[in-house]
Amino acid sequence: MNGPSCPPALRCVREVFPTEAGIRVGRSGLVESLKRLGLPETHLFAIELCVHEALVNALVHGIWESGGQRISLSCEAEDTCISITVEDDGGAGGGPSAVGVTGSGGRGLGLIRVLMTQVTQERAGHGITMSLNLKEGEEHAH
Amino acid sequence: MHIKMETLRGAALVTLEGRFEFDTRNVFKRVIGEIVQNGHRRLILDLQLVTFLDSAALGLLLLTDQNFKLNKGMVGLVHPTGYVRQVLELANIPRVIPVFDSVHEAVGRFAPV
Repeated sequence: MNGPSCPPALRCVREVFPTEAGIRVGRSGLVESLKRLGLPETHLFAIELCVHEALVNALVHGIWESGGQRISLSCEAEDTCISITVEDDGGAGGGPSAVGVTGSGGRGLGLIRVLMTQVTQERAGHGITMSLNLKEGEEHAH
Repeated sequence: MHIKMETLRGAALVTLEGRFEFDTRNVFKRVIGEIVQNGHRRLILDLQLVTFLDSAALGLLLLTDQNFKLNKGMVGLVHPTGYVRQVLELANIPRVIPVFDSVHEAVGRFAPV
């Protein structure tokens, strides 16, 4: 890696086994890949927490509550931005509620919104794309 | 996550070590359930050795605090560090549950009256 703001391109799409152990493996695999790019610890922590929250939401709302069977995790790291998408194939309903970080529900989604630069939800909560602007993170860190 | 439970001047002191998250919610619930069954009304959670904390853990902390308060009890957190402290602050937890710098300080505040 040339520096925290210039990571080499990383593109990956992973199927995550839809169990608690499966999402743990999926999350740590992605974090290890990003760690090897030399991302600073602050970014790694934010990404690890947000990927974890998104995978737990997919497992609880997409698999357990909505009868889904698959969770996918994809990541694109280019230049100054990392974009991560978590999707499940759960049916209608059951998506996480969109309440703030201090609300009674949707606390995980609230954390993602605070820690990531941009967050987009699709398919009634069964897909989430979150991106982190690494330069913006550096500005905040200083 | 490793959990150690002891009693200190009448308060239940629970030391958590490692990742406090969705995966470890059941072990935490079980320990807190035992503490409540044993009649403790004062709970000190030492977070100094916690390295990761997620929204499930935040929810459990708030729920535990709420349950203790309903029974005229109290909960205190001790010395969260680094990113764990940041996550607690992002969720405004210190406004609801008091945070102490040390177990000694928490025990002093939680001493039986």
